[in-house]
Amino acid sequence: MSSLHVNNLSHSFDGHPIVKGVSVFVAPGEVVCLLGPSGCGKTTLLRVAAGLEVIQIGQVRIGETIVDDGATNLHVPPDQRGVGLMFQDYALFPHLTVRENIGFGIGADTPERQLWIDKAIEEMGLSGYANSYPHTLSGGQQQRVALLRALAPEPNVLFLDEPFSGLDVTRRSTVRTQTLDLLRDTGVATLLVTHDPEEAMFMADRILVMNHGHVVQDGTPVETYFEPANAFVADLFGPVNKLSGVVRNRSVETPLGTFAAPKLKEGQAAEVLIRQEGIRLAIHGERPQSRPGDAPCRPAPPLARAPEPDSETYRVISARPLGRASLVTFAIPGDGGHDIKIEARIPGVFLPPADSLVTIGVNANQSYVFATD
Amino acid sequence: MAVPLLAVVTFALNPSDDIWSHLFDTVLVKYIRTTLTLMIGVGFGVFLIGTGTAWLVTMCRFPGRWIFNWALLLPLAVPAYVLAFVVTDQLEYAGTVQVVLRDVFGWQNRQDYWFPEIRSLGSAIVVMTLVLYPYVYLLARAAFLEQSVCVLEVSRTLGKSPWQSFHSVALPLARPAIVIGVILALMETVNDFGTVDYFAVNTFTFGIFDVWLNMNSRSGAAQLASILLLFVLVLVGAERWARRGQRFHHTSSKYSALPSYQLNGMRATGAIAACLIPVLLGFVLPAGVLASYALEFYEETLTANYFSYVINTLTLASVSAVLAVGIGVFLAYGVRLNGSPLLRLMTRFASIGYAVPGAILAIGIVIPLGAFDNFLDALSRQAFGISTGLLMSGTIIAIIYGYLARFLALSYGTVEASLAKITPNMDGAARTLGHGPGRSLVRLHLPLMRGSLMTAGLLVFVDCMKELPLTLILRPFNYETLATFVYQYASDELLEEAALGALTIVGAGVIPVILLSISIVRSRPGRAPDGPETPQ
Repeated sequence: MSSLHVNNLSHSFDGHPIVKGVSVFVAPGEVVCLLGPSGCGKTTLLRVAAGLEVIQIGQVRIGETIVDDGATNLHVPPDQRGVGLMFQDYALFPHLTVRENIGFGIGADTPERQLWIDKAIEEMGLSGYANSYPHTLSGGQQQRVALLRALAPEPNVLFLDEPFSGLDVTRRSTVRTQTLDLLRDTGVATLLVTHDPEEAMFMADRILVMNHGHVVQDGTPVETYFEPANAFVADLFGPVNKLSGVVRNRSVETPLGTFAAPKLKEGQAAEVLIRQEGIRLAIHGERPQSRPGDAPCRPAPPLARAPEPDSETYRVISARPLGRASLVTFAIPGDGGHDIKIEARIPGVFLPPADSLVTIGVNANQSYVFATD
Repeated sequence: MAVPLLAVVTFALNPSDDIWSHLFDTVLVKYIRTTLTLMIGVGFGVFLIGTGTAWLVTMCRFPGRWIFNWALLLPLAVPAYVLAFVVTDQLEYAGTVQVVLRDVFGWQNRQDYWFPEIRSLGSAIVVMTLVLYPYVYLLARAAFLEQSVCVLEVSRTLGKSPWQSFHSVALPLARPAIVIGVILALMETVNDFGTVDYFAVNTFTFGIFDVWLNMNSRSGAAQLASILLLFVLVLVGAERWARRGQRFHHTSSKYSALPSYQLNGMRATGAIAACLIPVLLGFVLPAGVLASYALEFYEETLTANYFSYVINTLTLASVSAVLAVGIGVFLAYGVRLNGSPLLRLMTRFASIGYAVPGAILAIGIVIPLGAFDNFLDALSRQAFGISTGLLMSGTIIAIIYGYLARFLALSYGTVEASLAKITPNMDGAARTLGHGPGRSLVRLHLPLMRGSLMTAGLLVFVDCMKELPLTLILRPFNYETLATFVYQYASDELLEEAALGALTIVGAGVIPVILLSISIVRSRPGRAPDGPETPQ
């Protein structure tokens, strides 16, 4: 088993820089995830590392072997670098059976590898399909065939390009678990590319968040979620409420309270980001709810007369059920008498009527302060 | 592949004997006028028949519609010169039609009645229209099928009648496709030699042969050819331009079953007649006449000569087809692996041949090959005192070269389209699984393209069988293919003896027509997408 080193890789298409000096390290047995919106350069980086694009600037090493070097124009073609790549569309060969697809990359057809294929087909629940053609399989089955095909030649490094985006939501979690188990078994260094933060959190040992060709954060899933390096990363994991303010006495004061900003300069303009799920609400007069499911199960009737909010309470604009959570929009006073809308995602069913008053609490773990230019 | 074209232009610009002015004074104006009249006539004719029948079979319901759907393509199998021979055979003074008329009306001789002159420009227009309208039909039909019905229905709800909807919505939407169809038909018109020669219509292609063979002036022929090349380049440019326009024509992604206007009574009869007449005249009549002659005279025609012509034809056509597909795969895969602009440009240039009339290509091949042979001969005489003679000119190598230059576009286009259906990720998968470019081609691309490669080969094969002018100029002395044999016998009023040969060509031409009609039915968007082909 080898590790993957990508050093200072830059790549451009038609003069447009796509990847700008990115370095990635994946240890054997580790799953590293490149997370970012489409066009951030993550797929390009993967294709260069796999050898499908000729490197322009930078270096790629697999174990101790240099396979790409922009400085010396060294480029080992993809068929000679011992990598596995699973494509977003699986790219199964339509003219070959499941078994032939999986065996495609095995050069010397040794009995041990045959045995491995048989066992793998069995374990992945494809026993009945060994002689079927790919188009007769479901999406999940195709995904497993593609994964096995990439793993069959025992690659040094495995690349997965959006491996689950072709599956419907209900099937994803099972396939993810299966895939992760298989990767743990083989112990191969895996670089996974996705735009889905939930997928990245679930699969990765480490997440590299990319934006505009740069890596903007490198950390464990928990670090990335709870300690985002900037507003972009915070935003990536779901919609956030944004409030602006100025740093005074190492903190920023907002209509929703005061937020500590120990690292920012005095007088610096700042932005406070609060995750929707970082806000707790309670109907005025009750204590902020601490446990999900305590809230009234039916929407209360509209109030006859709208009460006026005071400094502790806020006026509800709307409340919508989302299934496992409720989305409540309420107004806080902003500059010049204009209200700012704040959205809170409350677990369970919590549907206060419009114009009713709520009290709030903000979870410090899910609110972040960043300097603005 | 561009060598022939460059040779023609170079040779024309450096005339060895100055006949430019002579040409200009004598025949040039006549050639231009005749060629333009022919093009306008055929263009109008194929537009009318092609678009009209396409609209009828896609949008209306009447008895026999599903037969006409594919039967309207059949005339494509008949080379124009074959139809010209049959038409003349039937309509001339001694032909069936006039004999019957004389019997019925008791006329004694030519002075008693008026009958149109058969060997004329008008007949040439009619004959070519009848065999070339399927180009327009094919593309117009595809365009009508692709149109979103919603757009037509909107037009109806806005108060337009079916006819007005056709005129103001369907026709403009299909216009680029129809224009391309007309241009393809015109390219074939310009290429034609057999018909215009037989009808003594003085077009450019006729002129090239005339100047070359009768006036024995190569440079004169090359000069005419280069002017004709200008015509062709205009057509090629127009085609590219029309294809550009095609992009904007999917206005809606919603497709539903096509509406059908039920036609009854007189209207249905009219529709049947409109579809039946082109098929009858363009295919049933010539095939029928040829078949009856072939049966009647099989003893004279089914001889060793016939079989040697068939073998010659099959050899030329199959070698060319295999080479064309091979080179097509090589070029298309090369472009896929290494999409450098230079390579793309070269393949573009190599594929222009299809638009260039066979006569021009033939001249362009004779000139450099002749020069090459003379050079080699001189060299060998100098060095060894042995004359090598003409090695390349007048051999079947020259013909095959000509066929490749003309039909490479056909195989390249088919291979390229088929290759484009294989996603680049497939290549990536094969590469990361340890297969180099060569092995990927063998294990992945070729098996996946198998069907298309067969189609490409077949298309080239049949077109080579039909090709007359190129073969006529480039063939070795006394080397006959079915096309040249039919042309020579029929020109000498011996259609009966040429019938079997002509029928063979038509019969071979029917195969790609069947393939086409299958693929056009499959290609309608909005149909449930076909799964990947299941290998047998």
